[in-house]
Amino acid sequence: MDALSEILRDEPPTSVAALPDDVRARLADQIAAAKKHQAELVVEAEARALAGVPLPLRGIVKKALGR
Amino acid sequence: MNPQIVRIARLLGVAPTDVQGLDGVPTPELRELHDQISTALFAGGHKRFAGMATLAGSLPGPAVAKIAERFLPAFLAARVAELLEPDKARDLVRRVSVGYLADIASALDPVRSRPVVQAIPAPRIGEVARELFARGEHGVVAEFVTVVDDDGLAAALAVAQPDDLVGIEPYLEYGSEAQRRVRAATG
Repeated sequence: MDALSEILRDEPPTSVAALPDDVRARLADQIAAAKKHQAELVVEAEARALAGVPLPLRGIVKKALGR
Repeated sequence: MNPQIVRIARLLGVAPTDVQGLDGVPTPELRELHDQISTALFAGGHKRFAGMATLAGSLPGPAVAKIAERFLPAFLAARVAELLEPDKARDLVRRVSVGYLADIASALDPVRSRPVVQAIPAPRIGEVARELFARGEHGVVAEFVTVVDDDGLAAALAVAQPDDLVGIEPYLEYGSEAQRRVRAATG
């Protein structure tokens, strides 16, 4: 399994799978970078959203978020 | 450039010119790749988004709308919105600003959000479409052509200027259901 299939957790479409190795590797790197960035943004956004929740509700919200 | 490559670039947070080597890939396969990337990017957060959607469903609408618009970035709100109960979504879309809705629409996955989008009243869809047209986001509007119902499509196209219809056209695949619906609705 190459890096692209691995990060997609799926086989890419036929024409994409047939692309040169360097093209698929670059795409896999871009997806990995986006995934890392999105995960960081989610954590940051959750913290900001939580700070905006009224105190009496904050425990319920934390529980819902699994924090 | 193929609009699907632009969509992939948007998802990856890079310029379309940075997505290289995909020019020869057929449009349906680019669309499939886009959906695979979208799934891969957000798969790890599904449990969290589902928890937020459940929470949103259990809190009063005004509070949820206020907190969301003030603290939740649109890309995150989009992931949660895709998991909302349609009735809750219908309530929330009238409580947040059109600008915020347009931001969320730009980040929504059209397929995953279908039940939620179809719960939105047609007049509100028209307001969001007007905002997206004003921003030049014709590609986003085109993505939802096959997602909204007939009333929603009519409301969106009713606010389109002639230039907007020209702007949508390149995003509609030739002979596709989307192209057929737009042409039927605009006569």
